[in-house]
Amino acid sequence: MGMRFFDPDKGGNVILYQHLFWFYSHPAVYIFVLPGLGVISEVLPGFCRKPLFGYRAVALSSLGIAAGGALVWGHHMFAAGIEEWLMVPMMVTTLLVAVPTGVKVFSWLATMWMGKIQLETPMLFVLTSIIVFLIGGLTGVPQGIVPVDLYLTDTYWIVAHFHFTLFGGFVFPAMAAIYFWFPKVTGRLLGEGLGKLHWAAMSAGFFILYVPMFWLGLHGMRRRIADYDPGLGLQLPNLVSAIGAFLVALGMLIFFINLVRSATRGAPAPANPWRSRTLEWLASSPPPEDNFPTAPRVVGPPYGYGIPGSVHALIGTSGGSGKMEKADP
Amino acid sequence: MIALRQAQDIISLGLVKGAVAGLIGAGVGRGLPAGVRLAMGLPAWDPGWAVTVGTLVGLLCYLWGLGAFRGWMRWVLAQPEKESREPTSGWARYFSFDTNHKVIGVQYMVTSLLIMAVAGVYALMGRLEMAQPGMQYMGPGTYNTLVSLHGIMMLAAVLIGISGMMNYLVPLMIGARDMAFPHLNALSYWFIPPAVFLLILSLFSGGFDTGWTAYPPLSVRAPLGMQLMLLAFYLVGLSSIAGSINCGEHQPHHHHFQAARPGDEPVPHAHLCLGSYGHRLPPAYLHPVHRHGIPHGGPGAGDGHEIL
Repeated sequence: MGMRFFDPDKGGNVILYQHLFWFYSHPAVYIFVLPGLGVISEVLPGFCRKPLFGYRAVALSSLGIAAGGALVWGHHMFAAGIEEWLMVPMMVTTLLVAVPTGVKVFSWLATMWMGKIQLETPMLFVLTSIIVFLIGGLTGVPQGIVPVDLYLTDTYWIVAHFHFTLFGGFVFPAMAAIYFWFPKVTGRLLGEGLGKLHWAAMSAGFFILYVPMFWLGLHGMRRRIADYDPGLGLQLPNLVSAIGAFLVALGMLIFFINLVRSATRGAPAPANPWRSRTLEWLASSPPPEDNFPTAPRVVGPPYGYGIPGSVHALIGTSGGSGKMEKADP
Repeated sequence: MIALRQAQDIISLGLVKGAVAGLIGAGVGRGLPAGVRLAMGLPAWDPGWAVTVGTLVGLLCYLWGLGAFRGWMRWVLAQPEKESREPTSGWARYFSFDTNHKVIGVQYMVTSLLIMAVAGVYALMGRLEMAQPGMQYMGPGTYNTLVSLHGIMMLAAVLIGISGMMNYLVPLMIGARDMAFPHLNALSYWFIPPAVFLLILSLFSGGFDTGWTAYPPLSVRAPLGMQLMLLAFYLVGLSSIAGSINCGEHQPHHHHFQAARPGDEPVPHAHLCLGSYGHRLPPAYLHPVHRHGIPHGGPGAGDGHEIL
């Protein structure tokens, strides 16, 4: 429309666009993973039958990631020609974001430690999430360091890294969330057999798809380019990667079949199939139009799994008489 | 007869009405700048202006056809609220402007999965092309467009998926009946279908080869597809802003009331909202105020059993 803020031919500034873009978009990608990390913290204790380790630290680390994530945008632009004095502070803030993220990972490990781990489909996806997100985080540290980043910028290393963070931080947790809350939403259980097959195909396919990309990136393969020189010896990892991609697609196909089958013909779900404690499991599956007949009353911690006599919430029976029903311990 | 009734049912869906109104509006909107330019003595056709004005007019017509403004118009004209918490027949409400947070959550979630499937197919096509050196199945321009669209559509799918989980679960988890502003909530979902339409249209309007980041100077010189993608991006952004206003507004009412009147019985909060447009909410929407813990990460999340 003839605006010229960013068009160098008309006196605009292309670097300004990149600053504005990443000042918005880097916090945005942290917004993408925070709900996924929340799903992990929500689902994990129930399938370990143990309270979430360090609840306060996990909650605070979310705030830490949100605050820290707003101050790291320059790390996308180390190779773009930004001011040198801006590079080191951006590098330091980038490395600092690893601290609250590490808090979460250690809290999850401590939650699983000595727990009664139940390997149902939501839990399998949560376990994959933790491993994939951890690798995504660790492979992010090298490119947060300015001299290494200059070498890695715009290579397949970056592609592999951000797919690890997004799959570990959103896609796998979202799958866990769908398997976990599908019975609440539809009133039917989501098939466990196909679910485990989906998990196996997608997890294996994921690693086959993205691990070769780290190798490709280190060997100089550039992203966003439609072709590569057959003389570079990059064929095999590219072929393996394509096979992995089709395996992930097969997993998703199984998932969609499972969704449709279970939504129409799945076994009826009880109100609380996972013996969870939070309020949504006090409503029927699916919940009625207005969710609760009377207001639920919160009397205890949400993740006190395995603690004798611990109750999170009470709800009045319909009609609001004094009698209260308990959620599963 | 049955076929006729089914056809009537489908035509009466908000989505269908909105799509028809939106397409007509987009056509008229594309012509408007041409008229103005002719009057100013400029050459009539400018694709940038035509697409932008066409999208804006089309969007407004689509929302009107959908019935998004019905509740607000009734309030503006001081007509009595039509209180219909009665669910319309099963599947139809999922294709219409419905204000129940659970319906909106499912709408978001299904839309997210559909976008994810399309964007996944784009990625699969790209990987297939890269399995061997040389170009086998497409030209470099198509490859770049597919990879760029894969990026931006997956990001949209993630955002929309988060909105889906948030909409469905947050009111249930805090023991509320619905979101603070159910109409705004529904509106924020219905920005998404036209955004998806624009993204798919951009593939057939020259595409764009910048990657999802749309860096200039490449994006300044990109074909029309780039502009369609950016318009779609604004719509998704508008939707998220509306959605987060809703979630942000959810908490203060609770805390306010807990301070004013600690107790377990549901208390309507209508008078709290006076001055904001929250006060047009019918009584059935008013959520109960009660002691609660916020399960994860919300403001005030301590051990979940603290009473303010």
